[in-house]
Amino acid sequence: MNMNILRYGHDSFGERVVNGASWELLPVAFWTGVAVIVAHLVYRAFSRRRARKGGG
Amino acid sequence: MAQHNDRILRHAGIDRLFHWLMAAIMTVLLVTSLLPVIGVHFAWYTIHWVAGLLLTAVILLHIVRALFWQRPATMLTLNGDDLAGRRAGKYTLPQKLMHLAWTVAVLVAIVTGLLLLRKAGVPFLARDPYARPLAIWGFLTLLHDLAALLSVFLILVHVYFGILPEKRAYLRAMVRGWIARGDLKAEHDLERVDRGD
Amino acid sequence: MLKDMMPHFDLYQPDTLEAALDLAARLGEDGWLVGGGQDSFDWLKNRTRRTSAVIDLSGIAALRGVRVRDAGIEIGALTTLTEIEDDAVIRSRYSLLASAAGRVASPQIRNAGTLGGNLCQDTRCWYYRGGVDCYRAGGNMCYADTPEGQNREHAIFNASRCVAVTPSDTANALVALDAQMVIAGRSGERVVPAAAFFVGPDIDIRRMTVIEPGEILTAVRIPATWSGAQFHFEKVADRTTWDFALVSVAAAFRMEGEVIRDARIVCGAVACVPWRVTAVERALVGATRNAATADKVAQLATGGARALNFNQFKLPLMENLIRRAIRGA
Repeated sequence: MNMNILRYGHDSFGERVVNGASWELLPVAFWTGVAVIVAHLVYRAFSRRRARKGGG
Repeated sequence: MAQHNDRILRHAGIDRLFHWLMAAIMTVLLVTSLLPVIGVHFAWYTIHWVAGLLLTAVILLHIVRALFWQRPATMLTLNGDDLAGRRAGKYTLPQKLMHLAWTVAVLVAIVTGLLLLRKAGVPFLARDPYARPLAIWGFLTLLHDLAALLSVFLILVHVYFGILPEKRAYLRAMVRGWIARGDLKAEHDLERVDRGD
Repeated sequence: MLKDMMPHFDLYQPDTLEAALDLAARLGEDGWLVGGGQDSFDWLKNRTRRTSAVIDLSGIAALRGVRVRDAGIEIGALTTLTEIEDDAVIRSRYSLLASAAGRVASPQIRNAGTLGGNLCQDTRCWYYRGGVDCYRAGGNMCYADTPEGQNREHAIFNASRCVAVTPSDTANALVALDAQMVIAGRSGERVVPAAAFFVGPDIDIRRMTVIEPGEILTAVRIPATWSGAQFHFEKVADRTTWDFALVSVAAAFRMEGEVIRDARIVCGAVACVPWRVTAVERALVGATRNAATADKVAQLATGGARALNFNQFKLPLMENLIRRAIRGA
């Protein structure tokens, strides 16, 4: 995956500097949150099924 | 203070106000900063720094209240009981970790945001972008951006857990202030809750 | 590094608008649109900007000319500034635009420069033009608005991290005339009022206009609203020719005898967009157009202004130009 982590610019001497985080990370943050939610929903579903099978 | 009937006061009115105010301001901050990034253009900058200053004030008040009117250890200590998987006091381990994550995101955003005001320009502060080297400004911006990205992640997860049916009692408590002892029984040690632990 | 030499790019010369739009859509931000080239070639020859492709619009005859339309006129975006300055209809009905066009740069530049190019040209802040990574260039800083910044030519209004100004003389006249900009894209045409065409740094710090990649400004329509009104255009610059404004004013007055029924006062080079001085406009309605009125209302012009270290002179200059516009110089 060819993703930028940082945003770069140049100072007035032409030297490369970091300007901030790459905005390509925004969908990463969003979809990571979604992934955690989905993972928890799956875990929750399995836990409930297991609890029901256990007769408890 | 715990009460020896079915309902326990979980969050006082002032604390609930802090929470919802912080939530609203964080939402404004993220909307103003991230919508332009995805191509929705509007005059965002003034709203953003004004909201940032408001958040700073609210957070400072929260810290003062937590330090002097409450027991910070209730939220901040990840003590042996929690890590060993035993039942929690007032806050469960996941709740404490969520608070810790928000603390990091918000404090980093606030500190870097305040420092960046000198570069970006606000009416009440003489603008001097040369106060720091460009590399330092870039680093501060990087931290500010990462705090924003962490906040995006945390909002999703926090709202999700807030609206889960089995967690909804906590959401109700953040609205109404009280929680039923029965709702706490499953994950909390009521004796610790009554002690304020 | 060699400057003043054209770098390599692919040159496309469509002869229809449809072909140009197809190219603009296909090339997106890689396709640099050129009318007369009087702004573009500076960027390219200085190597401050590079592009892999240039779309030369000068061969599209349909985008040239002045046409009478409904009760107003429509000016093709590729009409040269000299053609606008000399056009009989514009001179008789909208002389404000003719005056503004006639003050742009120099005769040579006006002979080649187009109305569309003049309106869409990029700002002239020399830090930005010099290629430093400022906010407008996608960076993290404004070099002009600093304690030592050379900001004599920069904005006194509406600065939002960037203090660059609009360099276009015709923009101010067209905002005063309530003109409309016709923008074509692959999905169709949209018409934007002149006042909404220009974008300040508070809305989008990277752009001067609302034109999106793949779109082309095709025409400017001027309604009959201000046809035949009383006009005043004045531009103060360091040089009388071939220079950008320090402050300019484009004013239009609808009169009933000696009384002003409606007014438009638009100043250039004081903000990143043509700056409509609505406080003065409101104060003028019902007033007599004379020196006493001018003295009374001119001071309203600079309310909310924030001067930088080297451009405080713009405040009294702006007030004086408005005074002169109201009393007819």
